[in-house]
Amino acid sequence: MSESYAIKLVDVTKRYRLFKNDKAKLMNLFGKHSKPHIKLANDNISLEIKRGESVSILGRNGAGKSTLLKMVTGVLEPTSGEIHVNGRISALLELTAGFDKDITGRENIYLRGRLLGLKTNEIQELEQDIIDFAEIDEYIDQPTRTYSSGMRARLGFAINSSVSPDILIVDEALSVGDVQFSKKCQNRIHSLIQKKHMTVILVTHSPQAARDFTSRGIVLKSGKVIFDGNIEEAIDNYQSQK
Amino acid sequence: MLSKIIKDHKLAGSQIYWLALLDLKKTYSGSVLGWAWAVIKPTVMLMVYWFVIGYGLRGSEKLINGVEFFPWLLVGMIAWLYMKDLLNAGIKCFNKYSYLVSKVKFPVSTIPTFIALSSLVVHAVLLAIAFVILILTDNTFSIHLIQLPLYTLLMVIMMIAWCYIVGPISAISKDFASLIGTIVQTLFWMSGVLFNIDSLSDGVVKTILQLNPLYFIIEGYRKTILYGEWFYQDLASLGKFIIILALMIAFGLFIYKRAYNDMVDSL
Repeated sequence: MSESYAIKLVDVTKRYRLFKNDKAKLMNLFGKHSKPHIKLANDNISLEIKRGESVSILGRNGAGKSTLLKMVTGVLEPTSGEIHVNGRISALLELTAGFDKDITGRENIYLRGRLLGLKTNEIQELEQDIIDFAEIDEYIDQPTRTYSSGMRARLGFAINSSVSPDILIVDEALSVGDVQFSKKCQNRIHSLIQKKHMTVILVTHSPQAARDFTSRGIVLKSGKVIFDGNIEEAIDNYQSQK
Repeated sequence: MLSKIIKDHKLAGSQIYWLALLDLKKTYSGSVLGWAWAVIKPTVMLMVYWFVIGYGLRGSEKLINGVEFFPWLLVGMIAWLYMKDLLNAGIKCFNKYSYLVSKVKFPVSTIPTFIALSSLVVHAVLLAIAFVILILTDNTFSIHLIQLPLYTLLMVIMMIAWCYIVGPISAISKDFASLIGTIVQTLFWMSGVLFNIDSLSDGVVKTILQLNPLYFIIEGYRKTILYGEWFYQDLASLGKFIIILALMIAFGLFIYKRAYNDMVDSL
């Protein structure tokens, strides 16, 4: 942990291979029968994010933001290039996606906690806080498939923001639930940034949120970094895009 | 690829056991009798086959390798049930845990392992029940019982290799899953659970059926528990099994490596 960076990307490229259909994809396993369409999602991206820095990633739909974050969190592997990460990452991306629908909310807290590398007693300590924050109450012992999407998102946010990560990735997660809950989430992120000097990466389409939370902005377009610098200039750059 | 898989398993560590228990819970929760179904279903199956084949078709007077039909069927069935569980679970393994594959950071290659361990718990319970039944019906056992863990281990390794072969492919293509479903049914009749392959007279058919690795395991369980034979007494079948197992592992690693990225994108 002596390095000064939290995240470092060196020449990271991600190509998706899009096949005409499942059959073409299957045949490709055993030889090159049909040429896939190559979609370049991230094109040769190099950047460094320092520890304690808070950064916004801006860009239109399809610019490659989600792919980039998925690679940083380790869900996807880059086609080429290197990604170095210092510290525990907790990602608020697709809040509701990492749940097992067949088990209860409480069991999901333990599942997520374990996947993030926590020990059972550490999770036990956080358990009640998470349930309180998510406002799930008696539903906590019901399978999460019975939850509304709002409940799932709230629980997802509560778990991921409670595990005291070193790096917090927030992907459009500030609009969880109703206005009050959304406010609560924003307050929590603020306090995480201020108190714990957490590194934060925020993906948002809202200039207001970007200004509130971060001082640096990275603008992506068609998989490339087209701007990296002061947040105000980044927002101008992003908004001037056609 | 193998080194990556070993690294994944080290990384996951005790999580594997925890996830195995979670998988077990997922499989048997959601019904009133829950756990009981793990025992009820096999019992009914066993009774039906025992009645239809033991009494109906072949008559109950004949012995197989000096063993009566019922214990012979029971022991073979216990081994078969584990393999059947994983033949089916293997197809769906990455689909069932798609959120671990494509939504969170997780050592994906450990999924087949914890699924195999999860079914092993059921296997242990059924095996214990089988021993009680065997003792109650006056069967005696020999020192050969100590080689049971060896056959169990080979069985688990074989089924994990199977998961690596079919799991990624069916994550990519749905047709494939249906195809395998059909094959499982065929395998049941071809694996010597219900009839004694060794007693077939046709040389070619017999040789082909004996190549089936499921048959090797099923017979291995019977040798250990009923016949009282050591695993090295039939080196030819042991050798064939090892070769087939090695081929399965190699093919599994090949598929897993080739399909991994497409699988993550597909799920």
